[in-house]
Amino acid sequence: MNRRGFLKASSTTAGAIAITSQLDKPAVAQPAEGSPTFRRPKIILPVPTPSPQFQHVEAGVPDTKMTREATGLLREFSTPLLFNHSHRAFFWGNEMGRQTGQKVDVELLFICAAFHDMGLLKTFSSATDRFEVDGANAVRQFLEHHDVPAARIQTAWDAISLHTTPGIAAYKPLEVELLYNGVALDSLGIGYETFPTDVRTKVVAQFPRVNFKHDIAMAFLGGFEHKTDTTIFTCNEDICTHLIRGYKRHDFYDQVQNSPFQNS
Amino acid sequence: MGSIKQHVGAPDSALAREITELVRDTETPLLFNHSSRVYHWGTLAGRRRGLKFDAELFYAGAMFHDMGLIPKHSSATERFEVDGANVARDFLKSHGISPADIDLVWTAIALHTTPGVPQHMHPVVALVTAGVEMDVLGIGYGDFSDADRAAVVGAYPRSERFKEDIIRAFYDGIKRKPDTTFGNVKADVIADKEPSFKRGNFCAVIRGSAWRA
Repeated sequence: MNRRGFLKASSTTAGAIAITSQLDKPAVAQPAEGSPTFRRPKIILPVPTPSPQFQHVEAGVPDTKMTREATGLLREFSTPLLFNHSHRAFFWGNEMGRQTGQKVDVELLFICAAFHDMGLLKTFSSATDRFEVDGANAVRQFLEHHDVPAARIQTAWDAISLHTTPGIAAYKPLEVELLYNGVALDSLGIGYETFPTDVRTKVVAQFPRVNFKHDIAMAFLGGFEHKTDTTIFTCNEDICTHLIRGYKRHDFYDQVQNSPFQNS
Repeated sequence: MGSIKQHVGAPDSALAREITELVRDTETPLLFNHSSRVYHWGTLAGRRRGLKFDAELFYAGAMFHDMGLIPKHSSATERFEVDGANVARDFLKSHGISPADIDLVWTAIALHTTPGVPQHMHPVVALVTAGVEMDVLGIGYGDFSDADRAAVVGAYPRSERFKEDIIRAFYDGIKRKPDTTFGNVKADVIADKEPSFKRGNFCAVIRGSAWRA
């Protein structure tokens, strides 16, 4: 089966339940709503509207009201490091998308790239959730504000919340995979050898990597230093191990052994 | 202690019975019982939180979640979680379940070892992970009554050395493809069994990439 064809065919709504069983107890206080499949955070961190003078796109980015605003948010509230990283990630993903020959929602891909590390910034950072989830919740708010249909919002939410989770994105809508691969190329160099040199050179000239390997690690740390528990059993915990003196990394084996179940 | 049916019990439907038989025939008793407990922990947790979800879909997610550890369902290159998700997808598709519902179950299984994301998603997704975390890691142990815990473990026993046995089952299911453990809990499992195993390191990958800076 063509997995992408299969997943593209599936809508993102939770869907009506065809068969109810005796065990499916009625909800206590849950509104009977269909889509989408994510749940709202208890505490909403408002996404600001950027000042008009910041709302213009960089060369090569599709020029729409939403992309201008997303760029404005990056310019006004993010850092030069993440501004350049987010743009490069977009251009890498965009090129990979072009190579597939499939239709890509380029506007959404740009917005995903622009928001993917927003959760590292104080403005968008919750006290308890992974920075990826904070970014996903911010993009949802942004897209809802612009009356974007639920299916596109779900794609963006998944793309950002899963952008550090290996092995999953290829099974989700194409934009989820393109954001993952774009970020992986920029942060980890995955796919570097096979990526067209001319595009690489041009984009890096437009959005330079300045001490990027060191500075991105510090940006990660700054984004979850106050909530290191959110990094447990994710690749982000390696950042804590390297950069926080005395940090003790968690071990899955130990946690299994130490569960409260007795003896077994 | 009452019977398991008084506490939860598997869904009473043809589809659920077929899932039960398939998983019982395919998996080891260790994994079958583990998966059955995951269904019960998740259902109890969902009721406690007042979540509405379809019991059959959730049953599929819980019961198939470790299918990717079984050799005949294990791909050469995909994470075992994805292998299990694909088994559930193919099974549900052949039973006429809607693509949207299949996608939910797929996601529930594929993300069941990804911390901090499933809890923000649909109850079916959130509760598979919650059930797994309860059974494997004891997360939320104190939120279950002694009676519920005793009933579920009574109906689907934890083996004498379950903690060691489940770690061994994880290891046996993934040891041929250690690259799939980068950035997830399963790297700890390989490190535990293979002292020479060098885990992938996020910082090392950043520093060692082909990019000059």
